[in-house]
Amino acid sequence: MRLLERLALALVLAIVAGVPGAVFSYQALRGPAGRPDEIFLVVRTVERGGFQPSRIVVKQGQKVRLRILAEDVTHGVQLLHFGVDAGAIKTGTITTVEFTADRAGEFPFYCSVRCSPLHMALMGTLVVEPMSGSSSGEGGAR
Amino acid sequence: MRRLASGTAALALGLLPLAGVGAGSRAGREVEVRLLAGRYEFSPPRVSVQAGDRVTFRIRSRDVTHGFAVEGTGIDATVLPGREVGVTVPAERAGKLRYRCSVICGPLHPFMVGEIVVTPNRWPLWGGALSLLVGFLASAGVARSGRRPDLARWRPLRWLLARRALQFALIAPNLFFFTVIVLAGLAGTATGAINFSTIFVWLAWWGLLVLVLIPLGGRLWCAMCPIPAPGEWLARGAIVRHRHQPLGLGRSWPRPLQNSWPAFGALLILVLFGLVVTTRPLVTSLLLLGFAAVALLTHLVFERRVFCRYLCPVGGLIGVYALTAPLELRARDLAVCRDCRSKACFRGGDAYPCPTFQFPGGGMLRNTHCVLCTECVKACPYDNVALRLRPFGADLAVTRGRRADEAWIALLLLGTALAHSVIKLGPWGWIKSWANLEDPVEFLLYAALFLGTALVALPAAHLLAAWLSRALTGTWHLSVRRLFVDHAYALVPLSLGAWMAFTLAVVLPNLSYIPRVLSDPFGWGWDLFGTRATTWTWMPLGALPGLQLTLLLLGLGGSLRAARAIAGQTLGNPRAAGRGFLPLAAFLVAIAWTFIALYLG
Repeated sequence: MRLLERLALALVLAIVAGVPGAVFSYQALRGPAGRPDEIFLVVRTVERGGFQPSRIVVKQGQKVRLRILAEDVTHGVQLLHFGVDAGAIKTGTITTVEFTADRAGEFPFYCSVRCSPLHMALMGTLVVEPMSGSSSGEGGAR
Repeated sequence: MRRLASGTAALALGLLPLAGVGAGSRAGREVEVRLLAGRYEFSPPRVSVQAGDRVTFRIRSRDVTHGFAVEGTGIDATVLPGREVGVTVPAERAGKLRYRCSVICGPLHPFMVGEIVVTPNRWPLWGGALSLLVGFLASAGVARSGRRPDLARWRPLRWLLARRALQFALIAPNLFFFTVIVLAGLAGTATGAINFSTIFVWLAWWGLLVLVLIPLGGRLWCAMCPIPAPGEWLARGAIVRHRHQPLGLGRSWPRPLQNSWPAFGALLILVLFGLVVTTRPLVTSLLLLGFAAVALLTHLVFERRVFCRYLCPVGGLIGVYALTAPLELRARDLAVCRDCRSKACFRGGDAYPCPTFQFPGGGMLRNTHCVLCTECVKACPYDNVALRLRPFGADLAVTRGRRADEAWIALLLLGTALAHSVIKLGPWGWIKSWANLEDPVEFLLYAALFLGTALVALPAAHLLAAWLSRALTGTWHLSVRRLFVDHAYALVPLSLGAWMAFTLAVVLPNLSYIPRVLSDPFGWGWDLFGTRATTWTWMPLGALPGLQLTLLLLGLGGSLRAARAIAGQTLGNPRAAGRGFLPLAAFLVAIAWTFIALYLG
């Protein structure tokens, strides 16, 4: 009985402390990005925080993989300077787009599917840092 | 000419014994409907066409991206803002076709529905006729005595029931789910449809509770509920084993509150805010945490499980419906109990005393407060506790212990089933936004409407039926208050049937959310089991109207049988009871028909 009691207590503690521990460490270690070179972009309406991150920094010549999650309603992502259009991303689904950041500078990206009265204000910035500062340019540059 | 032909066809069809059979053979019209989709309604909400027509919807969105999926068919389209979509729906069979938004568009998305009524829709008519038929059959039927086999005589089960670890083994998995639910509500996405907390509480748990656990096991859920557990463990100073010196203060619960009114009040608040609670992960999570906190506090201060006995709104709900369950825990032989000195089931002995102050050995007759924790099975020195199967609705005929608080819970639950069916399953967007706390004034109007229905109109109709029962039988010496209370128990099976029909319509179309949130419980983009992108094919939904009708008729049958038995008890002699039963039966049939008309009309 004593052993059973200790086991039960251990199980209760394991559940109450272990579940949050496991959840947060899984998120921190693996995270939603399936691959290390991916950038995970969450889209919410402006009222609920907009793009996260709203500023994405990459190196010139880098092959960029964006994994985009629409979190509250259907959104879209357009990055016209690089010819990127993710199309409509339905709520709760993830779309992946790839492009090569072959030009340096700051480029805006927008939501392309009306998502709220503040839809037009849903914007983010892609910062492409020039080649010279980069030491580990990947083979993606043309 | 054409009208004449269709008129004749409709007339001929009306003579057919089944709704809409063969209606598809007529060459139909092409009907075009402009449909505006907006949060959270389609406008117009109801479209009426004739069987055989082909309806083409030209759909535009008023705000964000929506979907248009017709239940029971493979038709599914996405409606992007600024772009018109054309969808053609063949209206082959008479009846009601429901369509719903299929792209998550906000908190109330699961309840964004519209209706195509395909005439001649005879479902409500035939449903009403069937209600009357059930009425006649049930009132003619005699009460069965019914064998009540004792499951605890079966050795493996008896062994299991006697294990101290049994309840913990039931609670532990639910404690795990509870922890994930609370965490998901606090830290996960605010989008209810992709958050583990809202989906697992209001879809998976509620569905299992109403469709399986309550109808078959009564308060079986209470035996495995994790919410009161931490408080009970702390108060007892033990999780599994039996300790004689409890750690809690063990004060006695205030006398004026020793009834189900606190649970009634909590339930009233819960159902009033039902639409907000069931669609917001954070609110769901805080609600469960709040329950656990109140349970912890009350269990540490007061003796036994006062939360489950007096406070828990879900306990109040389950307690009333448990009266109908085909499972009961009772003393096997009361003669043994009379000679028993220790009364261990009530006072405690080798196991804890009954946590909800029941006294199996003292002739506990009703399921209302028995949480099936099996402490009495372990405590009884004479192995004199039985776990019996029995006919459905058995406790409704038990006269002892009928109380006004329970009667009012029964009435509130019936009113709530009706209100929630209108709000959540109906196509009317205005009442959804009123109930969604978007505007305080509108919410007050909704509250007035809701409370007016559940606490005034429905009880008034019930009171009228009770008064008529008295008037018809000339039993003026009986108190109408007594009749009001006693007759309310007859409503229980019908309201359970209505809740089951409602729950089926909420759960079935939304089942696909379960594999999705299992794979990504917090809406953080995880994919644990590779099922995060599950999309639903709307397959079993064609059977929904038939299932709903069946559940309502079964509920009505149970209610009428209970009504007959109860009227016999309250009104005395059988001939008077036969007459006095009529107003109550008419009231029950009217309610059943209201639900049928709402679901199928």
